[in-house]
Amino acid sequence: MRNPMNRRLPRELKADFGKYLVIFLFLVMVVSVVSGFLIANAGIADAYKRNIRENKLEDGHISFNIRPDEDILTAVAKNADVDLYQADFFEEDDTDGTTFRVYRYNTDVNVAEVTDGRLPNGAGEIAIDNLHAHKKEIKVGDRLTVGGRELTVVGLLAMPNYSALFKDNADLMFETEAFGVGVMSPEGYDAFASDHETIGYAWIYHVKPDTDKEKQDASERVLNALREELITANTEIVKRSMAGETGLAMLEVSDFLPEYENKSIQFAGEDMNGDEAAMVVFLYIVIAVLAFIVAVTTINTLSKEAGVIGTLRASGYTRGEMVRHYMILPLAAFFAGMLVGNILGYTGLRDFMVGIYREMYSLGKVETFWNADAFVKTTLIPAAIMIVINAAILIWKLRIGPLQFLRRELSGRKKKRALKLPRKIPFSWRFRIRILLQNLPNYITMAVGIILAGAIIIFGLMFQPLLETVAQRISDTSISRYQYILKTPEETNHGAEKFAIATLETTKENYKTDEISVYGISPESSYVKKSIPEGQALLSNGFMDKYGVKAGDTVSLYDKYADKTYEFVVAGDYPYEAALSVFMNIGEFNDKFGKTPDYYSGYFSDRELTELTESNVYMRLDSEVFGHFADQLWKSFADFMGPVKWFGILMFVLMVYLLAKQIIERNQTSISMTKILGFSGGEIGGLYIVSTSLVVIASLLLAVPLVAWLLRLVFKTYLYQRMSGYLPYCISNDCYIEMIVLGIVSYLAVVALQLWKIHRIPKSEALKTLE
Amino acid sequence: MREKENTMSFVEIHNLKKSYGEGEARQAVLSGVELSVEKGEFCVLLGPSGSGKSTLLNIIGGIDEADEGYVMIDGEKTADMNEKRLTQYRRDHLGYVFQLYNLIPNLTVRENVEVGAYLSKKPLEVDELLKTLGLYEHRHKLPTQLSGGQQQRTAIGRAVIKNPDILLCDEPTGALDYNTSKEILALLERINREYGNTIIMVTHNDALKNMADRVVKLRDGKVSRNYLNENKLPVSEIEW
Repeated sequence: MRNPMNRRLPRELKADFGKYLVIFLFLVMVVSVVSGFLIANAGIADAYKRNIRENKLEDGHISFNIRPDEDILTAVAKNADVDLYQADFFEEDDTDGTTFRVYRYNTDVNVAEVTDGRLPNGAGEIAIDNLHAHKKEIKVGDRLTVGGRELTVVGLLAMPNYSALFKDNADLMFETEAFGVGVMSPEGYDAFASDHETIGYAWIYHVKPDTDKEKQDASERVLNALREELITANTEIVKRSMAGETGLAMLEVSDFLPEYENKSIQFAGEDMNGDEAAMVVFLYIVIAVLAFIVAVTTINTLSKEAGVIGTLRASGYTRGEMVRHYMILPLAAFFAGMLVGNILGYTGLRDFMVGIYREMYSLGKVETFWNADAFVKTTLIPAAIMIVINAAILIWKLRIGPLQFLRRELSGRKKKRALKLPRKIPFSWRFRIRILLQNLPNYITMAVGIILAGAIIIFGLMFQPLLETVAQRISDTSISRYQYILKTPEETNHGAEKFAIATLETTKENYKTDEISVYGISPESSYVKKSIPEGQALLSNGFMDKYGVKAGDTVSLYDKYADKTYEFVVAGDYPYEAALSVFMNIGEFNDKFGKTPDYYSGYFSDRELTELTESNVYMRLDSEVFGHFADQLWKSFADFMGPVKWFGILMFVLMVYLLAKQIIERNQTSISMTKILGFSGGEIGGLYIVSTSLVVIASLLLAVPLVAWLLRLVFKTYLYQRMSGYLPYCISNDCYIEMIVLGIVSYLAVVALQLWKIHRIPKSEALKTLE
Repeated sequence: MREKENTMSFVEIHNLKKSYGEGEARQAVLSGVELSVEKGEFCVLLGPSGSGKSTLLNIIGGIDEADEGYVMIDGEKTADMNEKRLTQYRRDHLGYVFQLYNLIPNLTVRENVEVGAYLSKKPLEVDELLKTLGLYEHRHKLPTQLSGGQQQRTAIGRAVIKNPDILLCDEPTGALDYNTSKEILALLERINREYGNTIIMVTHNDALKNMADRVVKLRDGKVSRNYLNENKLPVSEIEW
């Protein structure tokens, strides 16, 4: 015989549709976002890896000032155990200042995948990167003027070596609009005959290195082989020059970049890995809060049906049967939400999330697929969390015997005496206090949920002002208007100040590696305005904050190329936000790094040093570059943060509605009785709704310090460990104000629903039998 | 009238003690109850408020525990049963009827009765019982659409449908008017006669001793009288 209790279920669903709808919607919302994200992430990661795997990605590239002799290339290839492929390119600007880097199309290395249109055939045709084309609204068939010449765009591409459009590997952020890459057919490329051509070669190993160390060793083999051939070739050139031969040029390497250091290749992959864990943790926290909300509503049902439960238990219904009965509907709503959430995740949300990634990274065809990992993370584990929390609470609540249920002694404790409230407190306030005490579990769950929703709202709000602050701070703390880093020392005057610089790495366990710029500062510097004590170093404030370094500590930094660790005694901090840096006296710098006493490698200057040889400038940094970094960072965040904020608000409303509804329902008979006694709807609302309102407002206010603490914890223990670079922890007060205002405004909608619910309670409710 | 006999009975209660409260506030509710009820007997437990009638009934039903002594039903001590076994015992052998009907509000009359049938391997025929209870015409109604008497009849139906060995009734007419009470008691009488269940009914209405096979009077937690009623009357002939 089917359990006749099951026949209650559709009726209960109908009677309490609002509650189950909220649970359902909540789940749909969370699961669709997270599963959409995970599926998109997996699809994007797959497209990224496929592009690398199938399209012959380079293992590194070298650029020369002139074309090297074939025998040099053959020797390098042989000694380093690699194949070398020609990978020339030219760079020309179009009419609105975009720099196009155009390669000669080849099928040996970095093969471009056509995403739309076709490959160029002859002169006057070009195929360009699909992301840049999307950003600049360039379509197949459009005409571009590059380097003063008109070209027809015949196709859009994804190149495996440009999944992130970094113009220069030293750039902090990629550039999707002011920089684009493309290919031309060999004939078209040669016919273009650009004056700004770079002679390039890409290498591919015969035996692929696997570990980081193997990759580094392999690239060093290439570098050593190259160095050897350069010395031989250039010695020969010197000899021939000395013998009177003219028109000979020394062969120089202008770029040498192994794949594992190439941001254009690595950045997208690293970025994708980072977000997933955070998203999944977020899902589990939300599910746990929802599970408690559901449990609170079920506890209220138990209290309402105590007599029935007592009778059924006394008649022989087991505790397990009761637990199952009271779990079926919430779980059904939960699983329906999960199902619809997953369907939405696999359809609309997936495409939305793929779109977000596509706004940042240039990839070929993205195919999403059913993903067992995503299913486990978005469905099985949340279901387990939900079942465990609810079953545990129900088993605990139903641990008491049938008699206690019959006597309605549900707490399982001996009856406590009522809390005495001083008569000085007006009656209405004593009434409200009693409501607070009666519904304490509801209110505690509500407060926890509000704080969590508050954290989500703040998270959605904080990044724009934060990044504005970052840009401002970078500008305020810049050492000089320009920093020039030179390939070789080159003298200049006019107020420029020499410095030396080296790049080391952090090695702190559990933290992602950070590159640290170690500056050697000239004595009595007019740019670095704080004196540096002898034998010690100043650390940029971000470095101190991120790694929790204090004055007097010793920090160790690693030189991966020399396999050497350097130690620095920290004298204090220096306000510099552009990069994680160490500042020491230049004399000590040169000593420490084995340089000559007069060595330097760059200039601080407040004016542009146009007199420096352009080809000798390794990098020029100005405050615009840094400001641009914050700007680009926000662009990559903006699409994501808007929905986060609205998600927080929706979560807030649904949760407060569900719990407030429970309180009204629990007191239905009392409300009906107060109506009979002559209280007006407004007065009743004043008693029952004011208590809830107080909890909501107090929770919103309490959320401010708690969210600040929570987010600081997230920054210190999660973000700082997982992201390289530094974002100061600062949340604008406006964010908190906006969170509270949004909370109160959305709560007003809940109040309206509560008043309506109170209005609908009939006076006859109080006259019913105790059924 | 015959005083209690010294033979092995269906329900055996020996030296049953139960107190509530702690320290100075501790109060003995049952102070050594001795009682036997035979299979198929209609036993009425009488006594004033606080005499321990309901506590005794709850201990017999296994929903409360004795501090001392034991209840043995058909040779098995309830105190030796763990929670799971006790539930199974209640499921297999007991039916409960309370003063408050405790019907499931969103199940119809028939479904409420089926809730009891579900527990039994060999339940009675639902529609037949509904006819016996006079509820067949109301079988599709929800409890809120019924009178108090009809609701209590439904509760009795829920308890009886599984054809329990013992039917425990705690003031089943406490919330009902005179005529409805008579109607419910007549029903219990008929069930006892037709299905042969042992019925133990708690009441403070002294007149109801006349409908019992066995009358047990409790006073201050002890059995003050326990006798077989040789002049049993049908409820219809009892006035109060």
